[in-house]
Amino acid sequence: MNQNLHRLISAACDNRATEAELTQLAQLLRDDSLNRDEYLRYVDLHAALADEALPATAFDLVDYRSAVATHGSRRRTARALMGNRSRKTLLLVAAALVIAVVGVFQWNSIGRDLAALPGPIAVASEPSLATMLFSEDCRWPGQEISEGQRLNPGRIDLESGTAVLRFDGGAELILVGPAAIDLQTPGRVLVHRGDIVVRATDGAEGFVVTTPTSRVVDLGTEFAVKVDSTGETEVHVLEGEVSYRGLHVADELSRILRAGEGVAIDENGHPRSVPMNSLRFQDFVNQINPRSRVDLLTVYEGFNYSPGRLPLSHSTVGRGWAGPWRHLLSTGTSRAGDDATAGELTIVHREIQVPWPVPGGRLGMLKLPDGASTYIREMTRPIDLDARTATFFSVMIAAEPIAATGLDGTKPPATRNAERLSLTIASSDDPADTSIAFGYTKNFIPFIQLANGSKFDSPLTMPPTRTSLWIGKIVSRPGGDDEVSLRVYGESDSLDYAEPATWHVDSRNVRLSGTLDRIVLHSEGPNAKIIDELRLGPTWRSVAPISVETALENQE
Amino acid sequence: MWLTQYRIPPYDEVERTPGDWKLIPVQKNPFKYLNAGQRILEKMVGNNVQSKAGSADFLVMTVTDNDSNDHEHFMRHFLECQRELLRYVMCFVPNAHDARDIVQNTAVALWKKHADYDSSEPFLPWACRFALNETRMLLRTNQRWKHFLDDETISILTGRRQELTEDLDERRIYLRDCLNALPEKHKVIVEGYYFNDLAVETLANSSGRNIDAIYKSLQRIRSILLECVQRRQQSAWEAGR
Repeated sequence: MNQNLHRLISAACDNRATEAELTQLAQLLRDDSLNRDEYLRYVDLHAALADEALPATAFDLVDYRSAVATHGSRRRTARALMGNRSRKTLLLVAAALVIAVVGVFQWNSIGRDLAALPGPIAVASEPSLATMLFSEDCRWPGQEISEGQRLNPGRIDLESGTAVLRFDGGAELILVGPAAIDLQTPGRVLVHRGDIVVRATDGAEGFVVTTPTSRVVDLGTEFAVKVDSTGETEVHVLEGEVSYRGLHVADELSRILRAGEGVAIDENGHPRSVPMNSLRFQDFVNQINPRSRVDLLTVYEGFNYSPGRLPLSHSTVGRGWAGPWRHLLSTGTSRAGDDATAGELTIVHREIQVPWPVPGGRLGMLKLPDGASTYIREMTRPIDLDARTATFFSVMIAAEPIAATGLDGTKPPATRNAERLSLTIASSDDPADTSIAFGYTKNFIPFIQLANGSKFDSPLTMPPTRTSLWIGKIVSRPGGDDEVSLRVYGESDSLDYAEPATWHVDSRNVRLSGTLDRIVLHSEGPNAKIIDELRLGPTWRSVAPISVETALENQE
Repeated sequence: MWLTQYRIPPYDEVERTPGDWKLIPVQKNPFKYLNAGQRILEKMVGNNVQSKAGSADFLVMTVTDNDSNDHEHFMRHFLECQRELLRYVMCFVPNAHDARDIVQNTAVALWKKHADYDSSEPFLPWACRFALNETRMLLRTNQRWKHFLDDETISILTGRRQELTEDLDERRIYLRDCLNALPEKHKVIVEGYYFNDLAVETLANSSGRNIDAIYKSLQRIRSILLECVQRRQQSAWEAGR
């Protein structure tokens, strides 16, 4: 039965089936659900081969059921991994489309756009006062600003698009182009023109917005300010209240504007009431529809291998790697030269629960055995700490649950003191002197350690769940004042569309130098640990497993 | 199609015809005109345009568009999901050549209707509906394929395909490993036929075998791969238990 079915499907795949054979195959599919399953598996295998869609990363996998939830997030990487033939197909289809219906389509600009990866981030070495959290379709004339970038005092022009900034004072600001603003202090912005929405709560109260005609002071609230080309200013209060006054009017004459009210202030500083008309901050973010940007990932390892023991020399799948994983023979250090490709990785499937919208946990994970083990792998795209860059990483870690140990103050069992896990991004030339390690050590306290010996511990212990998601950020600039941060999410913690306001470990004003081109995974202790979904990318959205719906739900 | 904030002010670019209210799709433009959830409705009365904000879900009108923004957005969406469309179409028309033609026709159909696309919805399911229509059209009109699937079987396969999603994804992981495990003589055929796009005739000539033998080998190789994938999946499940 199967043989006949295979013969018929095979003929259909190769375009050799006669009309009679197609009729017979159709009949078999109508009659029997087992035939249908076999058919679907057969043609999907054939389709995978025909489109060279063998997954190099988990994002290559197509998941129609989750397409709604992950639209736009998991798809783009496939493009970069296509073989020649797929590219050809793509171009043919695109070309046909262009010729057929568009005519004057600007193919070159798209090609460039699609191929472009974000370049280094431009920040000066003076003290920064805000972070670019999110930008969508933004054009910045005269400068390049990308997500995750730290911003210095000074003017920002936005020609088009929408951006979200967070001031170090805590206020968040949505900027809609065309707009021009001056970042003045961590608590003050000057709006030359354009539309902004400010959310200044939880300690960020007192944020000041000045415009060519007026001065608005937040009193713990959310409000919108719109400045037109003449300088006329509208203020709309969405929640709480603000005080406002004409720019040249004495402070005592400030007036209060409450939620639901709007006011327009003309160039002479004279106010008049206008109907409140602005979206809430969150509605605005929802409307921007923040999406995951895994297409920007520079490094990805999902350990998507068959379960069992995988020879290290076969660990070649993933993205952005210069070779397979290697075993470090002398544990605890990462000196060059004493590693080996002999040995194995232990791959397991379905051993952890993964609450985040990633393929991880389902299609292969690395199990680090008990005792000490260290694995290293080189990246093709090094991180230059002497240049202006921002690099984010994320990794999923499953360790033994730690409930009733560190968190409630009881003394952890002695064996737990020996537990240690770290992910180090290091230089292959000089691993001892150029490296940044993220991990946890005894008592499950997350830490960041720099090669110069500086160690920064988290004030909190690991979340009391088995699986945690680690997201780190490294910001470097030529003149120093670098930053390294780490945040650990438990299974029930929600991920925001942009980087968090607070990190669990935050080391600002450190000095980083050198080139990082290798990842070192080190584990020791009596318990095995599981690692999955290791990602490096230039922005929060490229590494954080957010989906459209997750991002929106979390904002509700 | 959507209008960005910068495309709103030259409002006269909108093609207007007298009579009915028409819905102007607007994205990211809450400041100038809209409250949440609202859309702009317009109609021509004489030479004047009347506008109002509303939430009616009827008629989306076309907009004269002289820049490439829309094309760009459309192409981005399309390129993102092109592979998925091919995989989807091959469920119903397993021959890659015909399936690619269908995807190509789908692209044209999508472009013609892209003004109807609501960008708050995911693009792929929307595009899949078009792809399915194009597939049905081929299955009805093509001399050979019209002997294949009827609408009812298509719909059963679509549903089952959805249920098997996770299974099929997982199988692709094993497929890669199984492919590596193939004997060399089989690898040569797979690479030639699938990866280098060589005609079966060419493969036959270069290996000194006849065409039927190559087709037979392809059938045999696919069955071997299918069994291998099945075996690996089975042991993974057992190991998982």
